[in-house]
Amino acid sequence: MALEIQENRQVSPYVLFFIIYGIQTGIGVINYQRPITNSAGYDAWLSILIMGFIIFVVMWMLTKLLEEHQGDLITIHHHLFGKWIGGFLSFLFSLYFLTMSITVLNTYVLLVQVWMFPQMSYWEIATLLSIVAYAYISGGLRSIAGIAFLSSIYSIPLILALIAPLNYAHFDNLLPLVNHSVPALINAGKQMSLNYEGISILLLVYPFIKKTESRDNRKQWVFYATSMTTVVYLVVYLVTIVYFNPQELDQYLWPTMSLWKIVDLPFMERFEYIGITIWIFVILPNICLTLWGASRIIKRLFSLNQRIIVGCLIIFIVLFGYLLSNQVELDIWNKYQSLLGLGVMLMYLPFLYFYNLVHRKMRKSHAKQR
Amino acid sequence: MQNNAKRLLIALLLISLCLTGCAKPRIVDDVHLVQAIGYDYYKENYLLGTITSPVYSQSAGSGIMPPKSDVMSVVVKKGTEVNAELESESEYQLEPGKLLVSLYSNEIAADGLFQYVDLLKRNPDIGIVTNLAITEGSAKEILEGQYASDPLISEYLSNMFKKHATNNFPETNLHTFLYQYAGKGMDPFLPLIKKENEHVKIIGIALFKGDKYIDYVPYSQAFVFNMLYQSFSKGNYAVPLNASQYVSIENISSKVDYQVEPRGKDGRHPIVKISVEENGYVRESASVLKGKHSIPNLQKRLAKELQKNGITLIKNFKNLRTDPLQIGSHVRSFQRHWSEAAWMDYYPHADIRLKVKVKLKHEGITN
Repeated sequence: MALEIQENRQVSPYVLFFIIYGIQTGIGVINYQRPITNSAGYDAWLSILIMGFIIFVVMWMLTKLLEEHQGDLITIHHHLFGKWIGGFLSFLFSLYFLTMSITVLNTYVLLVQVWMFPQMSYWEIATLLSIVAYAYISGGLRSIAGIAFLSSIYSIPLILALIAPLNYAHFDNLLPLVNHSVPALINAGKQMSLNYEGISILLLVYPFIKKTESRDNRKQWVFYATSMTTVVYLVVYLVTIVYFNPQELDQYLWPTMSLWKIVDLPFMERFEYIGITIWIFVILPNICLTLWGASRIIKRLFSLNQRIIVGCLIIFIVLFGYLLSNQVELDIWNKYQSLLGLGVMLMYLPFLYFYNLVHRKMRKSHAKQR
Repeated sequence: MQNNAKRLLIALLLISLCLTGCAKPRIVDDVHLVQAIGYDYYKENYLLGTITSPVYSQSAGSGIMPPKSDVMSVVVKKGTEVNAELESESEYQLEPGKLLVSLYSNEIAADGLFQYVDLLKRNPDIGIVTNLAITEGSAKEILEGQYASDPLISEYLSNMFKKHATNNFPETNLHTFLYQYAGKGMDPFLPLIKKENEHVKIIGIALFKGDKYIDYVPYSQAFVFNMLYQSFSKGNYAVPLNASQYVSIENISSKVDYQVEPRGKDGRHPIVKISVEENGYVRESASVLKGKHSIPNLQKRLAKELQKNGITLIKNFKNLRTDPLQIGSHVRSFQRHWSEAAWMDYYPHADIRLKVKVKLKHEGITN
């Protein structure tokens, strides 16, 4: 029983690139440099490559799963674990998506408060953001894909602005190459998990991507997007470490923001304020996609109206987020969030793939016996 | 249903416009922009903080009057913020967002600068290209002075530092200070300035050990310092030919290259080889450039002179146990598992070799 989505709700295959790229680059980019440098010093760029490769493999597993089951996460869970256990696992995934949107929303609110408007309260910023997010989500995946596309376009100046710090580059910071042990590199790779979190959205989005009659080219866009993310992380990291030295980097809570401080344009003294403002478009696809994912699962499980679910979920995350609206609590939350992400991405998803292999064998032998 | 939802959404968006009043507006006419700040000691446990901010006013007619510098100072106990105390004197809210220069008297700098710089580092309002400088004597005196070239001392100093950063002088600002202070195998340096009648003069490069000011390189040696510190393009240097004559060289490009033999001859201690390549031309000369003073001879002479001065400079840094040239960091990039402690033990008698090559392209339009 393949899951069919009406054609007027589907999007073209290349949009998958923006969706995957959009959900991966989010709140992680502004401060991932610090934890990975603390583990592996300035060799951590190798860890980014390692992690990028691992994610690539996981993505490949996901596409295999999706192709075999002709559906989404709920179908896969249903096939593999039956109605009740499968349904329960899907529901847990819905909660997982919710925690992600809470992370993103809260981190951004804190960012705005620290850098721009210390007087603005959590409620004001969070409410504004959630209204905007609701507007996009209520338009369905098509409008979310639209904001994901715009987000990639709008973030181009942010990436171009990274040329300015190169005026102060100390390239010998990179030397000597590979001065750290392999366990240290892997440990640093693990710290990257918050950056790649969200790839499981692929399991829900896939059926919405239009399959062309002649050949199925949906997969390639997934891989392009993953490579692109890794390249962006690598470039941002390299710029950071030639601009800061390791001891200095350890002092900055948001190294990417601090990088932009050096941009000095004749008509604009402080680029970082523009950066934070544009950043809203970088995190919007994150919030939209995770909330959409959470509500999509609930809709599929309980057959409720998705708009109403989204409304309830948004109110929930804004209320819940208030508990995490200062730096200390948010740091703890983020730590657990990245652990959770690591568990889901590197353990649960591969487990699902291998379990599926075993399951298929069993089914086959079962069929033979009959 | 669909329509109702849309209407609701539009209403919500409209309501959200009311939220724009939530953040405190900061209108540029209603704030005082702090452009320069200076710190001095006052008696024992007190600090004398001085700020200047420009006052732009218009005359009743049509003309715009030149801006005036408004100087305020306050004495506070050590360890308190100056800005908060100054509010009591100020007509408008003080905003440090456009801080251009921050001055510290040599006495303050000798006791450690970090606690003052930390204020600038932590505040997101303050730009990272803010200039820092050490003053010989009182910082307040410099900020209060009246200068012929620019009515605003903050602009004057900031432009002066900016010009120097492209000419003879290594660039310094808040970022470079923080980088050099935090980094291993390097120490910060800042310009050292002094008031002289109607002008402020850069008298040298203030050297630090950690965040403590210890000594300075005189302005005449700034070129040599810069030549060892980085590759740069513009600069000038005068070579004495004999007791009364000299020749002035304009620099086109200067390239410095650090090579390190990580284990040296004895298998433990690194050897640092610095090679400098200067390209330039003759700018001024008091004598005819012939014979003894012909271009090839001049090149040799200049190379020898620069090499000698460079070695003296490095020797001084070794004796002071400060490393503004980041030699330690260069060694780190060649040596696996470099440790700062071991390097600092070795540094005072490190084997550091300097080789300078000079090429003069032309001698101007006369010989």
